[in-house]
Amino acid sequence: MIASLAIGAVAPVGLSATNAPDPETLSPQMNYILQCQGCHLADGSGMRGKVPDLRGKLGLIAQLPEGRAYIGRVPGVANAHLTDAQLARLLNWLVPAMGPAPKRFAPYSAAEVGTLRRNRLQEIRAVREHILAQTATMPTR
Amino acid sequence: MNRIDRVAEYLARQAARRLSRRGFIGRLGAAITIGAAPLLPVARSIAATPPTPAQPGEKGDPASCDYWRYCAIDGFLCSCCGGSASSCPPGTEPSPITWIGTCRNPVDDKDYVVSYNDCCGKSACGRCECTRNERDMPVYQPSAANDLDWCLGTQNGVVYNCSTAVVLGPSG
Repeated sequence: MIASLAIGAVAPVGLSATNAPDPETLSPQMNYILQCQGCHLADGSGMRGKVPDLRGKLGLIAQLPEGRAYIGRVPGVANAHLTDAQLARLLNWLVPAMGPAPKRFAPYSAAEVGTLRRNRLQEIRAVREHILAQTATMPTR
Repeated sequence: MNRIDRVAEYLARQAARRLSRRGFIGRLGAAITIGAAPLLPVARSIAATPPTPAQPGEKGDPASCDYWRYCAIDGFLCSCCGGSASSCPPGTEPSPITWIGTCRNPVDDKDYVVSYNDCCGKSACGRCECTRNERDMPVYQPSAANDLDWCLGTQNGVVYNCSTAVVLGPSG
């Protein structure tokens, strides 16, 4: 369990709250703080060997069809304590924010995120390495 | 005089045979040390230290489990372990990855984002154990379970010492 948390690409520190603020009324930035920042840190830098660095990667990954799906299927995203709509808003803010800003980025819809997260990735590492290998040759601007 | 000399010599030799000089010095040293212990500056400085004061805009005792920031804490308070509510004791390292939640500040009745950074690298502190667990999830939802040892994120290894509660800002 700990290992899956540590290697999840977007592992959240999610809280399903009884008296906590309702995620639906919170900004994507605040939901990132509450659900993701515990592991990914405020700037997305994560932790070498344990939590992947999102900076300069997420925008590239999102441009690949397989990568776009990966972002929605990775356990940290799929398991986040957020509704599909809230998760879509979070990703639509996070992908350009982590950069590089994708040239063409169709925002995620709640329905798309819902379909992806219900098809959660079981084996993450091989998929991520495959996707990162493709992004290595992509122009960053 | 000879008689007095002989008696004095006899008594001195008897005493020297019976009494251990090292033992006497040892007992004298122990008596001085034990007697002086309450006067040592270390003991007095601890007794004279007032409780850690609350920050402006907060009320309560940061060394008590009831303190508002600890609404979801599970562990030993660093305030009781040589650190504070937001800093690690000397010789320990804060875990960069943390459990993040929200707590309501009774002073302004607003929710604040609180990061529970574990302090790692020394054995468990053992003082002021608190278990409040608001919004804690079972360990089969590890990302939201505060039973995890968040020291897994430090370079020092996973030895847990105590927990801080750092206010990151208002929630919402």
